Amino acid sequence: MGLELEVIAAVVLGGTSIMGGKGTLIGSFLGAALLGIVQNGMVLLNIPALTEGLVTGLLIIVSVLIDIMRARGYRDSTARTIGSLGGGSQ
Amino acid sequence: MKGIVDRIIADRMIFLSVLFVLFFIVLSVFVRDFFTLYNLTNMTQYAVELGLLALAETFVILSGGGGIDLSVGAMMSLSAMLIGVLIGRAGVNQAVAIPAGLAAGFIMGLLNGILVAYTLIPALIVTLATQYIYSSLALLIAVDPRFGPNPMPVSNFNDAFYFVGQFRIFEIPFQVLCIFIPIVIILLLFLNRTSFGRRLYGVGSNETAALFSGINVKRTRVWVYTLAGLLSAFSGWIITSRVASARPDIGLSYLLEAITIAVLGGVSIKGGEGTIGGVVLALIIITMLYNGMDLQGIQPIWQLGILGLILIGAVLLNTALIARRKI
Repeated sequence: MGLELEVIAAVVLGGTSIMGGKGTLIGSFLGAALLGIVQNGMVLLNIPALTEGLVTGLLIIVSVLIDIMRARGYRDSTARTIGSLGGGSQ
Repeated sequence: MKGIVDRIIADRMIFLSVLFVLFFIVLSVFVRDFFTLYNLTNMTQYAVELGLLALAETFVILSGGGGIDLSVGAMMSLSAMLIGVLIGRAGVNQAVAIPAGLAAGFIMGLLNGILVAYTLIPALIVTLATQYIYSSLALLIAVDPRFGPNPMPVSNFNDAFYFVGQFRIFEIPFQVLCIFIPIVIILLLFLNRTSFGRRLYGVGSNETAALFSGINVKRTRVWVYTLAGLLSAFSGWIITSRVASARPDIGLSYLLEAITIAVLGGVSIKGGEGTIGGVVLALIIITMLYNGMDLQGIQPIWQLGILGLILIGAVLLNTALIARRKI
């Protein structure tokens, strides 16, 4: 397996939605940079290279979870606003 | 003539059967040693490991909602490595170690399923992340402190362990007759004769309709991913027994092939559409092609390219003729 999965990981970390329609070039760049920095930092900290996948995997899950929770909070507040204006539910 | 072509294209099973017969005749005529009992039975041995992963992928993609499992190869590696370490290094009896490996696959799949169904993270991202985690764990448990900090394959098994992967009954490999075929039959019955199977097609083809019909969509998805984990673990066990070595990277190369076979077998990537029969036929076709190219002495570098071209050709032909049929 080459770099294809790592590339997807970088883009996802950068905030691009896998459903499409959301994401930026800067985000993808920062995602790739984050993965690079983490990998380099782990080497410098003498953390065994074998745990790299573990860290990358957890990083992806946690960052996407935070993103989803933020989006959900936004949606709920929008729904409340519409509701208070008398627009009915969602 | 047009009537016959249309009928072939209309049914995926017939299309794949024609493709199978075509390749089989071409390979039998042009490749020396292809049409021998030894080669034909030997070939099926290699198909088992890939086939189990393709079936796992089939169920996951069928469940819809962007379902895909990128971690099947990693689950296969970790289960294989766990079985290897337990038997080869810890000296655990294989009657305990193998169920432990299969249970590990079950748990990994369950974790995938829970994350996909209950956190709303797309399946592609969940399984991408768990793929990293499971591969990393496989590497970590492969480290033998006695031999330094690097991951090492395990290969000191006892003879009884090789039975599953190397024994033959009437020339037919044991794992085909006693593991793969029963699993295919069970999954066929499961998908076509139980309410779970019907629910799965329902969830895959229209999630909202399924929800309003009282189907527990989330729970259905959790079980599908769990099944994928279990099938991957079976695959890991069998390959470890066949090659007599547990390696932490053993499943890496199988992932994209498994997805390819499922798609070639007619499983719609959108979910809700596809049959086990089609996937098994696709598996046989791909295995035959690999085998034929190996026997012909075609370089592995070219094999991948040729395989890609044939796949694109098959899918293009299919869609082009379907489009013509609709006009």
